Amino acid sequence: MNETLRTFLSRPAGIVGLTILGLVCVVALLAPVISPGSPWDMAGMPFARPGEGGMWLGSDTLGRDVAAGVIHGARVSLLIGVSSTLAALAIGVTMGAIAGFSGGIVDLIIVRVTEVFQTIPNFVLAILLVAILTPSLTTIILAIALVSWPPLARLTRAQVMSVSRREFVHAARCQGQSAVSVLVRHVLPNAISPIIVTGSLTVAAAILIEAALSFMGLGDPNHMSWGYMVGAGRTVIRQAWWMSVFPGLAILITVVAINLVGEALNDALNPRIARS
Amino acid sequence: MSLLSVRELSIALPKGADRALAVDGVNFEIEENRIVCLVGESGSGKSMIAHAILGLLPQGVKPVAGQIGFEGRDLLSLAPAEMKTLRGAGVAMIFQEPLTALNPLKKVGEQVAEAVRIHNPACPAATLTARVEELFIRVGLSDPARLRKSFPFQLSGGQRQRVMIAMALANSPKLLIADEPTTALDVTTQRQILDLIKELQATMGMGVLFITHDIGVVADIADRVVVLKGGQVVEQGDAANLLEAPRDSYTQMLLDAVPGRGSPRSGSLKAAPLLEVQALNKTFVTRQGLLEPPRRVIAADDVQLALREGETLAVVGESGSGKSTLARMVLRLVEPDNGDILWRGVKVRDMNRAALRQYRRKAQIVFQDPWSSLDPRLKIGESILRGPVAFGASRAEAARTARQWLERVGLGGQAFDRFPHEFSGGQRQRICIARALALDPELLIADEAVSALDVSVQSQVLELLAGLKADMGLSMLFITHDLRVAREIADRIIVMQKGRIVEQNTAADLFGNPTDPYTRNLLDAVPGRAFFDRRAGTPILRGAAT
Amino acid sequence: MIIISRLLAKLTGIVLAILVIATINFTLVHSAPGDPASVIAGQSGATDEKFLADLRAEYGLDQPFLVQLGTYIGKIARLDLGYSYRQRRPVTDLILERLGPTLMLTLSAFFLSLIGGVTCGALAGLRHGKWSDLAISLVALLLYATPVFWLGLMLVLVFSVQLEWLPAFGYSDMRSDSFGPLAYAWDVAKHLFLPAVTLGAIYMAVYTRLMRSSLIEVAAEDHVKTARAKGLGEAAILRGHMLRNAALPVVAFAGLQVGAMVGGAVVVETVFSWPGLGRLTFDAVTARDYPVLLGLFLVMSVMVIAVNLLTDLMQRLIDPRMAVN
Repeated sequence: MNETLRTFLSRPAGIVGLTILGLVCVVALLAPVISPGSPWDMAGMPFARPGEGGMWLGSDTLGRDVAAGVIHGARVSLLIGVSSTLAALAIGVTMGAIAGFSGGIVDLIIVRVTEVFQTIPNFVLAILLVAILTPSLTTIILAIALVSWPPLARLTRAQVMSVSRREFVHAARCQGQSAVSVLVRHVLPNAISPIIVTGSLTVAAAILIEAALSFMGLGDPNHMSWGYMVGAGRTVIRQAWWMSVFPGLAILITVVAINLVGEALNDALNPRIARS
Repeated sequence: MSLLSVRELSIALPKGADRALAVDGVNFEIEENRIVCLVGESGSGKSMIAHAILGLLPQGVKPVAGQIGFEGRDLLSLAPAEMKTLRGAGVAMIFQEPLTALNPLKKVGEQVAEAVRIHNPACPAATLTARVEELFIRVGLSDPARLRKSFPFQLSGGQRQRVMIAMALANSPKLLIADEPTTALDVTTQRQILDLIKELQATMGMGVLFITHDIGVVADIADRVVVLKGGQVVEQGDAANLLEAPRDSYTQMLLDAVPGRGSPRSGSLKAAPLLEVQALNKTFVTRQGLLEPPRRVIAADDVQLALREGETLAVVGESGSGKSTLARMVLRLVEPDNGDILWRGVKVRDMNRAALRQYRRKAQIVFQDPWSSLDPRLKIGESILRGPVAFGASRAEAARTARQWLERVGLGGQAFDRFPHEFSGGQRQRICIARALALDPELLIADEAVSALDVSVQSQVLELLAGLKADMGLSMLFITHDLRVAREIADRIIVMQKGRIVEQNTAADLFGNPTDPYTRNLLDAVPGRAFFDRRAGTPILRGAAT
Repeated sequence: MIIISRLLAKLTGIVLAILVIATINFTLVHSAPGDPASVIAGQSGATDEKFLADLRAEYGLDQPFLVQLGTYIGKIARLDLGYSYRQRRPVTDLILERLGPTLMLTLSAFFLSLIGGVTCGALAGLRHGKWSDLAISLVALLLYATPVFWLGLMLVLVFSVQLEWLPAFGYSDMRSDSFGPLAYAWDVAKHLFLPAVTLGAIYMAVYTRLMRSSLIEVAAEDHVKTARAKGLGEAAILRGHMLRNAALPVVAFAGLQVGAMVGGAVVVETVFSWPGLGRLTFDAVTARDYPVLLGLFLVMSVMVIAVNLLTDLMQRLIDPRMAVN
C-alpha cells in the first residue's frame, strides 16, 4: 500500500487533481459558513455584472448571487456524484461478481441484461425515471445509479473471471482454504484495483449526468445546483454570459480534478507501471 | 571474407536496468553458407545482438561501441534510408512467436507480397501472386492458392512460422537471422521447422544466425557456436569441436544440465496403487451465444491410469493433449464429465467438502507459471503458512514450518518476509514447492513445473524434487511436454495425444522400444537426440526410424 | 447455416432488448406515484374522471399486471405508442416527424467524433511524449470533462454572439423553399454545424484518448517489428500495420457509446433548439407529457440498436477474425 501511495504522489496530475478536489470538498462542507443564507434569496439587483453590487460573479435574472449558487451547488454535485456511484457500485459489483463466479446460464442471463442496459440511451432513461418519479435527491441518485452500473458489472465480471483463473487461486483452494477465504483474501484484493479506478471515474460521469438533468429542469427543486444555474442562464446568454459561464466552469474543474485523481490512481494501482 | 563480422559490439541498457551493458565487447563472424548459433540463457544478450544487426533494438537500448560489418559497410553507422533498403533484402529476420509476428488483420499472402513489393516496386500483380505461391511451396505450404488468402488466426503455429520464413526468403537474402524461431512451437513442429531452415540454407547458400537457448537445437543445426553469458562471449568455435570438447565451464554446465542423459529407470514398483484414474472423460464446451452452435474440445477420452506409492509417473504430450486438464481433474479443480478417480480406493468424485479438503492436503500441486502461481499481494511466508493454518496449526507453528521449508528448498528463512516480485522464476518455483510440501502431502503433482525455467535452473529444480522425493517417500505425477525431462525423473511414462493415452510403459521400455507411431514421432523430434546419444556412448534415445 | 443462426441470434437479441425496454416503460408507469391512468393521460386530463375511466378500459388497467403488459406490448407491435393528450396527436406521428433531424445530428456527430478522434489520437500516439502529444492530450482531458450543454452555450457565445459567424438556434432560417434546394441545404448545414460539433467534440475527446493509448500499444507489438524488418518505411508501417489495428478497439467502444451519444443529443438539441427528438423530450419533460416520454425512450433505444448494427458491420469490415469466426 505504501508503494501505491508513493507512486500516486509521484504523479503531478494526481497531486493537482487531489488539491483541486480537496478545495471543492472544503467549499462544499463550509458552504453555510462561506456564504451564509439561502442561495435562492435575492441578494441584489438582477443582471448585475460580475463585481457589481458586491457580487463578484454577478447576479442572475432574479437578482440571486451567482457566487453563492456556485458555492452551494458544490454540495449537491458531490453528494449525488458520490452516493449514486456507491449505489451503482453496489449493483454492478454484485451482478458482475455473481456472473463471474457462477458462470453458465446465470452468467449468460446477467451478461444479456447488462448488454441491454448498456445499449439503451442511459440519459434518456434517467430523464424518464426522474420525470415520472418526480425530481428529488433520492430519485436522481436512484436514476443515475440505474444507468451507471453496466460498465461496472462488466468490469467486475471480467476481473473476477481472470483472477479466479490465476494459478495462485487454485493453489489457495488446494491449500485447504475455505471458498470464502479464497474469495475475500485472494480474488477480491487482486481484482479490485481497476474497479476502484472505474468507480472514481463514475463519480465524474455521475456529476455530469446530474448537471444535465438539472439543466433539463429535472433537478431537486429544493437544492441549488450548477446544472440548474446554467439552464436558467441559457435563454439570456446574449445579455448575461456570466450566469452560465461560472457554474459551467465549476462543473468542468470538479470533473477534471476527479479524472486526474482517477488516472493517477490507475497508475498507482497498476503494478505493471508501478514496477518500472 | 566473412559475410557478417561483429567486432567489439557493446549495447547499453537504459538507466535503472539491472546492468549497464546488455552486450559487452562481443566478437564473432558468420561465413557465407554457414549456420552460426548464438546460444545462452535468458539475459545473455543474444536477442539484443540479433536486433542490433537490423537496427531493431527497442527504445532506450543503444549500441555504444563496436562495428557490425556486412558487405563492406558498418551497419551501426548506416543511414536510416540505407538500413531500410537492406532490411528484408540483404538481411532478413524471423521471430519467436509467429502468431504475434504476423499482422492479425492482413491476409498472409498479402504480407508476403508486401515484402517482395517493397524491394521491387515495379513488380506486376500477376508476377507477384506467382512469386508468393512459389515461396509458399518452397517453405512446404501445400495449397498455396488457398493459404495465401488466409488470415494468421486460421493457420497452425507451424504454418505461421513457415509463412514468416517465406516472407524472409522473399528477396533471397544473403543472411537470415532467426531469433528463437522454434521456441513457441510443439516439439514435432519444431523438428519440421529446423529441418526446413537447414534445407533452405543449404540450397540457397545463405548465412544463418540462429538464436536459441536449447543446446539440443544447436547440436542439430549449427556449423559454428557462440556461447553467451551475461552479455559476453565465453566460448566460440566449430560446432563439432565445441560440443564434443567444451573448454569453458559454463558451456560444460549447459551441456550437462540438459535433462534425460542418464539411463531411464526400468524397475516397476509392486506397491499398492495410490491414485487410480478410470475411464475419465472430459469435453470442454464453449458457448458463443444463446443460439450459436457450441464449440467442443475433447480434453480426456477414456483416460485410464494408476500411480503406485513411491512412484513417479510422467504424463507427456504436446499442447492440446489434455495433460494439464488431467492434472486439474485429479484434484477436482476441473470436474470431469464421467469416470472415476480413486485415492487409496476411495472415490474422489463422491467426496464431500470436508473429505475433499483432506484429500487435497495429501495431493498437492505445483503449477507451470512461476509468475502467476503466487499471490502478488502476499508475503512469501504468509502464502506458505496459510495452508497449515487452514488445517488447524497455530500461526507460530505454521510460520516455523514455513521457515523450515524455505530452508529446505534452498532459499533460507529470510525469504519469509519478502514479496514474490523480489524473486526470479526458479526461486518462485522453489517457493511453490515449499508451499506444497508444508502440508506434508503424499502425492505431488507437478504441472509443467520446470518448463518456464532456464536449463541450468531447471536441472537444479529437478534435482531438488528428486532429493525431496527420496527423503519423504513422495509419489509424483509429473506433467510435461518435454520427453527429456520425463526421462530424467520418471519411473513410468504416459504419452497423451488429443485427450487419449496412446502409450504407457516403463521409462526404459518407452524409450528403448516405443510401440506407438506418435511416440516414435515425439522421440525423433527431440532436439539434439543423435548428439546426446553419441555423448552418452549408448544410443538410448532410439526411435523406430533408425 | 452459421450465418442464419447468427442472424437469428442478432434478431432475438433485438427483440429481447425491445421487450426489456417495454417492460421498463411499463413498470415505470406503474411505479409512478398515483394512478397509472393519470400518468398515461399526462397532467392534461388528470381531473376528468370519465376520461380516466376510458383510458383504464383501453389499456386494460383493471386486468392483472401481466395481461396489461401483454396489451402494452401488443400496442407497440402495432406501432401504436399512445396518444399525447397535451398535443392532441398520436405519439408515433409526433416522433416520426422529428426523427430526421435527430438522425442527421447524431450520425454527423458520430462520424465527426470517430474520424476526428482517430486522427487526433493517432497524431498524439505517434508523437508520444512530445509537446504536440501533451497539447492534444490536455485538450482531450478538458473536453472530456466538459458538460455538453455548457460547451454548446460557450460555442454559441463565441461563434454566434461575438463573431456572428454561425446561427445559434433552430434548423433553418428560410421560411419558403423558393430559394432552391441547394441554398436550403446550405442553410440547414450552417445550422447543423454548431450542434454537431458540440456533440461530436465530447466523444472526439473520448476516442482521442482511446486511440492514443491503443496506437502506443500497437506500436510495441511484434508484427510492427516484422514490418520494419522486411524493409517497410515508417509511413507505410503506420498506414498498413498500425492504424487499422489501433482503430479496432476505438470502433468497438464507439458502438457502446452510441446510447450515451443519443442521450447527449437530447441535451444538445435543447441548447440549440434543434427540432428533433431531443427537443421533443425537453418539451415533454417540461409539460410532463408522459406518453411522449415513454414513446421517445422506446424509439431512441431502437435507434441505438440500429446504429449498433452499423458499428458491428464496421468492426467486421476491419477485423477478419470477427467476420469469419
